[in-house]
Amino acid sequence: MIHQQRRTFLTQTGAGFASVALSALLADSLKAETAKQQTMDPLQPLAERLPHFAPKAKRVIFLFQYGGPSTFDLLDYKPDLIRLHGQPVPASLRANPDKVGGVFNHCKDELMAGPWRWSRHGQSGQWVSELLPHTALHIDELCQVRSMYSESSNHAPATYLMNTGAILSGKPSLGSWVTYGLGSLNQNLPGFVLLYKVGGLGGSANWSNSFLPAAFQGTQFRHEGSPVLNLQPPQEFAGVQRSTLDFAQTLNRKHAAARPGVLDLDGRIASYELAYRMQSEALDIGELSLETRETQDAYGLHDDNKDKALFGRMCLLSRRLVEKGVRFVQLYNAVDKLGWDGHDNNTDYNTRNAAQTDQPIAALLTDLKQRGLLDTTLVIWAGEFGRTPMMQGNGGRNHNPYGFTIWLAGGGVRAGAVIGATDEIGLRAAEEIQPVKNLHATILTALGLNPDDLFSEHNGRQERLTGVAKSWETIPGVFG
Amino acid sequence: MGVKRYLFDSNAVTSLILFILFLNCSFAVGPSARADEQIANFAKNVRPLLEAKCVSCHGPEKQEGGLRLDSATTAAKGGTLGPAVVPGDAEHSLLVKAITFLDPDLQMPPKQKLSDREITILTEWVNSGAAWSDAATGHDHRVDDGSPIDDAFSDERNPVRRVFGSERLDLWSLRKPVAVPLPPEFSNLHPIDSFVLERLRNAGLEFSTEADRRTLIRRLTLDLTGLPPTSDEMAAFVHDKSPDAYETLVDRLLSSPHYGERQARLWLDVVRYADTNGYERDEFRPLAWQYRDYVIRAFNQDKPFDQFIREQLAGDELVEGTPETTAEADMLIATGFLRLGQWDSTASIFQEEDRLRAEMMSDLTNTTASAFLGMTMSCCQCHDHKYDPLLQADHYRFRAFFAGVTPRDDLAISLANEQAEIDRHNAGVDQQITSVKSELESLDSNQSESTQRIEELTTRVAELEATKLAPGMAMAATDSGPTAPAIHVLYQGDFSSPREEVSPGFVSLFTPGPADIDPPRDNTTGRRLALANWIASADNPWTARVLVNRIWQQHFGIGLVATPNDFGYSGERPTHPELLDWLAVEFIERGWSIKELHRLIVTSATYRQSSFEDSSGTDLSARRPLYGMQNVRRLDAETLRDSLLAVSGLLQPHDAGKPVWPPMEDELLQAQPAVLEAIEGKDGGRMQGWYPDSIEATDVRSVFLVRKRCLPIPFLQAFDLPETTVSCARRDTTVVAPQALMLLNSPDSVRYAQALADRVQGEQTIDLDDAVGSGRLVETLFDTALNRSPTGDELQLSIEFLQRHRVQHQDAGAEAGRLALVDLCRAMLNLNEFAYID
Repeated sequence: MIHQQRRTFLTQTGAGFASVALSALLADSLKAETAKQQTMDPLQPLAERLPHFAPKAKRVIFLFQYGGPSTFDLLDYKPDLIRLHGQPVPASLRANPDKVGGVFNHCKDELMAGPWRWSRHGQSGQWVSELLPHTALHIDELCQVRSMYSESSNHAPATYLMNTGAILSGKPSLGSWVTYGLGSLNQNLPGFVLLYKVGGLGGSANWSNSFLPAAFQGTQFRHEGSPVLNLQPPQEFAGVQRSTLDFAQTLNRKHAAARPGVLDLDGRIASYELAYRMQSEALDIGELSLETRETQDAYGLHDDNKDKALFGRMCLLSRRLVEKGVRFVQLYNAVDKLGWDGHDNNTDYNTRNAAQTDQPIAALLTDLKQRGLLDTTLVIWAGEFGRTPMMQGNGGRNHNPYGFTIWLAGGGVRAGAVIGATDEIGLRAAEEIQPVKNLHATILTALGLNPDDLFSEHNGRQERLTGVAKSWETIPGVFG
Repeated sequence: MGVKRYLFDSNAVTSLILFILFLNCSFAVGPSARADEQIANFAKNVRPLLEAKCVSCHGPEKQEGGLRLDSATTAAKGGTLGPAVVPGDAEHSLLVKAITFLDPDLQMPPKQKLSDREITILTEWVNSGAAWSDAATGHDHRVDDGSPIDDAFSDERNPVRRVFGSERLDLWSLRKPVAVPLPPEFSNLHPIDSFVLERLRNAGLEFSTEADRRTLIRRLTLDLTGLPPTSDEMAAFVHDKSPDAYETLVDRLLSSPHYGERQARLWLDVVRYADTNGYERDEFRPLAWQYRDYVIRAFNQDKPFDQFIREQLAGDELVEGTPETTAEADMLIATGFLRLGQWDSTASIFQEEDRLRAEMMSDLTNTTASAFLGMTMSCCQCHDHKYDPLLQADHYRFRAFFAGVTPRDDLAISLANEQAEIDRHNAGVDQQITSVKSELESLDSNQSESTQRIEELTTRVAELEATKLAPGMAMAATDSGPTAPAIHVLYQGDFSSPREEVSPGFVSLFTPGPADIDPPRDNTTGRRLALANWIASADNPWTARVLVNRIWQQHFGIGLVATPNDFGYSGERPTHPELLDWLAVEFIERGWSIKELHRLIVTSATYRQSSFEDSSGTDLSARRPLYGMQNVRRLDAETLRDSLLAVSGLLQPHDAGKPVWPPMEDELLQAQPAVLEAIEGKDGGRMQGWYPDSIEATDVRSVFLVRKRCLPIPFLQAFDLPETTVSCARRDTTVVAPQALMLLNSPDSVRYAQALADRVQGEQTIDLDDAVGSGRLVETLFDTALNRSPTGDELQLSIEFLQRHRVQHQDAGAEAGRLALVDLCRAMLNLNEFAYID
């Protein structure tokens, strides 16, 4: 995308820049390939752009599970762990070949099984723990990857990795890359929307556009009140907004007409009109009362469990957003700074978080399917890492980057598939081991984007979500 | 058989491979004829491929089938099946056999076949002689035959020549800038103009007209100080009839304290300044602001740039013991530069200190190279540079200068005499404490009559302790001692895969051997000073060019090199190379004075041109890049906010000290886990929270606002605030709808509009039925907000607007006129004219 980026840059200064300079001399085949891509119109950064090849999914809902869920208490059934409950870690698994450190040091040498019953579900007959009764009904829709690993045992770096592809902060997030590559389907709404009460550890760097244009920044949709911060003027200006804008735009047009060729000025005039249109469109999306009582109940909007009701609102909003053409929606499930991070009393954490998220997520899958959206909407469920089968503290579990489960649904993924496996106690990914970058490559591929061709030149480097070209592979088996 | 057809038929790979295999080898050029080119091909295309696809199983970690493909020798020797590579003979090379998948029993890589292009690269490479250069390591510069190895231009044994050949040595920025003679036919012109006009004339163009005085003072004041001119300043300049009115204005602005504030803000971008650590806890750095103030002082004092470089990289190595002067104290504060990167304080909990240390080393290397040299050292961390003549080893040789860096929060920056005063005072206090304590010891705590006295005396000791003075501290850095931990080349940049050890060294292409470093002192290796001296040298081809380019960019919106942090092959070439070099040489000759450099640029006719007059009729796309016209530029986030505060009269005087924390939406605080921990008082005093000052105290210049890595101030963030993780060379100026929402609807924006209305109204009563009075209001508003009078049309439109809006607000009764004025102010602050510099 080097060409379009330069073009943006030139129009920004108003200085046309004829020099093609060295890029032609240096053009290796990679750069030559990108010349085929559609260029980005700096005045319409969110205009829909063609993918590199036919996509399976058109939009994404990413259900980020804050704090690191204990996935072998949820989906990755480990009868051996139950059998070995209270025993030390088997000698064969004790040796620590892991580059990422620290996990064992904070745990007791004692395996701990969860107290939950497991049963088989769906046509595929997969095991699901009783924590997820609603998700269990959709088990045949899910494509589980049980062999993910992360590159840090620490929240912030691992959360950055899952969201931006790097353990250091400062890289554009997945949602920014996707909207950078594809634009969005609705020009009156942001292309990348976030829903959270408590955002990820490590803060706004998790949804930063970083060096990509600001149009690709994650915009927070609030789950209550005015859906976007500053969306509406204070009350005393509500009646005069249009007329105030008209005055400014009259002067702006005169100003721009005297300065031909400075495209930014026209762009800014257009941005005010878009902002004005966004006011009404975004307000409509936030109107959850337009949904039937049945739908509201399915998502748990009126549940006594306030946390579930909150997460239900986010899930319902996310469906309304993608339905209106928003390209990428990301939800953070946490209602406090704890999330799934059960260092002590893991049973309690699992119970609370499962109760909060299970029903709304199931409702979202049902709803998307009923509306014919699931086939083209990629739903992702993932935390930053998993948890240890060893006990920490008083019935807790430590962070575990060595092996954890995520799932995908819709968007052309193989429904009912289980890819990879952890070892017998769920400690390390053992089969079809997958780095996070492969998950990112898989997501981009589902959207019709070649991970190597989605790049931006920054400080002399071709930056990509998936890093160095060809250093990734799509997770085998996700697409059948 | 047509070759072309196959090139477009992806299913015909097998045939294509066979075609390449059995082509007469005379097609391949002999290794001696084009060795340079082939070595370059190996470094650029082949080695990255081998490392990405083969070496994980056939390398230092694992040797499947006894094969290693990480050196020429081991590849030739091969594994259990025989030699992997037969130079010049792909047909008999097992490597090629394996990757083509022709033999069902030997298919590599086993999981996924290489792409057609990759197979072609490797096959052609083998056929053309399998040229190989060993990965550049710390040993590459060793003198093997007794004679010292010279730079890559003159000595083909230089490792850069061995790895890349001479192909990359024609990079423009490698040659020291030389001031070419000014074009003689323009000798009466300002030197900058002579260079620019020569190019313009060659294209059949002339300069545009000079901008009018209002435009000039607005542009100049915003460029140099980041604030718009006041009405009085405007009037004084417009009516100044003296021939040197413009030069006087330039002098005034260069001596304004606001000059340093503006320049510092831009430098803080380059060095990725922030007030917090980043990562999970994002703790406040209580002393970072001292570095910010140091930078402001440095610009206002016009500290020579070469000295500015030395102080930031090695200020601690310039000062012996306790600082004697404020200048010496500043040198210690300047080392805050080495502390500005992110810092994950939780890394130690998971024994990730090695990772953190490696990140810090990498960050210091990359930032230093970007900031001062315009070189992308980040690109040769995992492998040799893809475009520029930099070896992977160069990255680590550079790192080695920083190997001893140790964060220090305990370095006193109080001057020696202040320190003596503090010591004297504290000794006095200690004396008193001693006498109190001796009384305490004489008392028997078992006796009830003593209990009260014991309490009193204990309190007294605490009180006395509290009167002790503490010396000023800085967020500084020194070396850990006269020696430093070893630095190794890291295989693929991975901190857990160290390879050869390297010594500190400048880029191999100039000096392949280790750097000359003065003998270490007790507490420092002296390495950073050696680096600083090499950077801050008139002989360094990059340093002066990079700086003059940054200053040029500030005045034209674009640099002579459009990529200010990348003077390499993947960056842009200079549009006016002679001008860039002339400025660089002139800058050095004028004692590295940045103020003189500004003066030179802004007094040129090139700078003073109009940005839009004469824009009809000529081809703008030809004109603008040749500087035949000024550029229209958007204010950056801080300048926009500062301008809003200035014109609305809210801007509070403030020139130094701890950062100011504006109020923050509660919802945004609640969304930050680390902040929540602080709100609940569970952050263990680490200052993870948000500590808002009163709203009045907040209306200060933006450079003084806190920069919290995980929670940027939303108003500034909306207008393209850069990340604080890597050096930012140039602000984005994107145009998006959330900016409009911010400037129209945010509580701050409304407050600015209301304050502007107050200011415009002054002591008057608003009577919109009074045409003269209304006209005066509009005049004042345009003058205050835009530094100009309204045109006749604008005046009429504005008055109509006020009357229409008064009707809209009629429910407010007597307040209706005033509300209408606020509406008009709100419109004015949203104008393009307000947000852009002509």
